[in-house]
Amino acid sequence: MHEELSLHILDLGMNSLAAGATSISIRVSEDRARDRFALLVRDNGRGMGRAAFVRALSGRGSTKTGRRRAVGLGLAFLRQAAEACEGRFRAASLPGHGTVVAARMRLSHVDRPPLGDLAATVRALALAAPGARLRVACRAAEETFAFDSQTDLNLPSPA
Amino acid sequence: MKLADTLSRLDARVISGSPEVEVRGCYISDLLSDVLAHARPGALWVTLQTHRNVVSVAAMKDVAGVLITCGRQPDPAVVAKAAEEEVVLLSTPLTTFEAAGKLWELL
Repeated sequence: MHEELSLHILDLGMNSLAAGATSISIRVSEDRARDRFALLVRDNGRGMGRAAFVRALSGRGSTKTGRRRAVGLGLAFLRQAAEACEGRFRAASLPGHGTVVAARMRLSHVDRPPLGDLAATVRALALAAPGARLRVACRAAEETFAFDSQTDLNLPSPA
Repeated sequence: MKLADTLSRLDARVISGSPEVEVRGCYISDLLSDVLAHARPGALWVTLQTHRNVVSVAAMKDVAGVLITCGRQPDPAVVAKAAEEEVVLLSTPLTTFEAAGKLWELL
């Protein structure tokens, strides 16, 4: 698992971009009344078939072969974090349509990582794929904001 | 030094794999992304985590083995995955601090 939940979100967002997504939606919410933290990342990338999806969930997700794999633990790490914090993890993927990943945790759980620097994660994703539409809705104790790269970013158009 | 030669000092038993491997150094962390970033191949990784992701990270980093502290025991499914991935798992009743002290003298 990662030190901050924002790093889990960065991990998922980079997965989405690697899957060729042109639209990524991120939702983060903290509900104090229900003592719940929830995050969701949805993309329109190429998605995964059943076999690849099961591999990704078990931490053998990389399409690279061999013992030394650089990637492929993102979903497994998030599942571990959710399960360690009395939460749950859900993911679904449809080839040709996209992938959605959702995790929730007990907000007050002593092992729950802090949200961390979500703005830095959003910035990194926006810069990693200027052509993709990135939408973020965050409702947390530290900050509440909505971001849409289509209306909130003024990137110079590629020459 | 062989991993097998550290077992008695660490009061450790082998849960999976063969400890007849060379051990070069040690890394101690319970944060898996930190281990991915900083552990060196051939090191002994000391942690109290027993999640199956420990096996994935250990295989990826090619560590000599994983020493699980505080008497924690991984689930049978995790042990089976370790056997499949040829990851050496050890368990010790020592705390991480105590194990670190012994390893500091040994390595």
